[in-house]
Amino acid sequence: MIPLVRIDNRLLHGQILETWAPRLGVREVVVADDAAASSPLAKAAMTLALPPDLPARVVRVDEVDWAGLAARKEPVLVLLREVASFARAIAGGLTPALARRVNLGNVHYAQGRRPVTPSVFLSKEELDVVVAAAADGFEVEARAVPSDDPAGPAALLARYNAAAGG
Amino acid sequence: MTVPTRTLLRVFWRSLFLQAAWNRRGMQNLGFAYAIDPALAALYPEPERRREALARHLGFFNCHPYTAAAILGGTIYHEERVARGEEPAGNPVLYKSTLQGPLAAIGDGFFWTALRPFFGALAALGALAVGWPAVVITLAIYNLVHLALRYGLFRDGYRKGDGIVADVARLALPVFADRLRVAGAFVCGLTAALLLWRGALQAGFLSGAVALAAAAFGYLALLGGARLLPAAYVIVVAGVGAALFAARWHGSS
Repeated sequence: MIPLVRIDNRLLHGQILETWAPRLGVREVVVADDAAASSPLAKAAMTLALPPDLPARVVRVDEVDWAGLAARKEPVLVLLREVASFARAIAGGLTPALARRVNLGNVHYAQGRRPVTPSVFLSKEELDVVVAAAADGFEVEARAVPSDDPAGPAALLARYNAAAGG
Repeated sequence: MTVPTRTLLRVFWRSLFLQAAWNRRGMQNLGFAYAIDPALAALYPEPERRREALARHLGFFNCHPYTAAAILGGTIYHEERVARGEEPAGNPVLYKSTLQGPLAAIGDGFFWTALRPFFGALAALGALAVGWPAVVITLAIYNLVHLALRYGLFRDGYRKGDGIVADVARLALPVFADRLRVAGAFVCGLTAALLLWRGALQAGFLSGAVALAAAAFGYLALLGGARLLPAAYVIVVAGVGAALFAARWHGSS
């Protein structure tokens, strides 16, 4: 099963290994990112951060076998770098039935993005993807670590509209 | 074109202030740019090129403040090659963005959740056993270890660039982290036993009960999966609060 799909610009890092993985009882991490999959340095760096009992695979976004991962008995955490990758995953077969929960962890500031949580900045297009996914049945929330208060699509929309454009 | 040793030392010194200008948009970006600036000044004598180089290091950066030293060293390694025209100017930034997550994970796992709690527990035990000098000595040892590792990572990153990953892998920090966590738990157990024993001798049954309850609370929090810092702080504060309350209550009765 896929207990969580996490969107995080930094992919695999401490927040995931120290909080989400133990909280969700994750047995494997799948990092779905085209750039990381084609970089030997990124792959080597990610494997060295992992505890010995937690395997990870780095694959391209299109390579993820969503149905296969969802059918597994052990929980598998899937990491995506950008909201755009999430949109591509949906186009490639990801449905709420396969992985209901989607977490926006860290999306860094960039031109055109506005702050919606302390660690997440979204553009209008990205917010549209999130809202549409929620309407389709995904449970989308934004927070860095499990102990933070989650912000749902309505809160993200309200905060986006309240924030000054950047 | 290489960076002189003196300048490297200056960069390392500046890297100790990596988080001084932490901000939401770029996080450690200003600290990183400030740290690497002397190296850029040495590599790019022309003001225009130096400005360009500094500007690319103002982009988002966030890592563990100790392991970030490896990235800083490795980034100078790549900047030297950019300055010599052997690499495209995008390489240093790609290097930073690729390594910041994984090295942050290693730093969090080793320093924040293993080494520092271990020395904290050791300081607590030492304070109970021999008094405050133990705390000063423990702090000194912790910082010696941390600064030595930090400088080693910086130097190694500068010498080897991408090769730093293999070197960090050889350090096997996650394995040591596991051992330190076990050792830290053992020291905590010793401390708790000492507290119980001393408390029972001096203040009777109640203080023993409070210490036991605090230990049970901590154990339950661990079982609940609390591994991150805030939970640890809450446990410590709750324990101290309970002990103070018990001491007051005992003193007034």
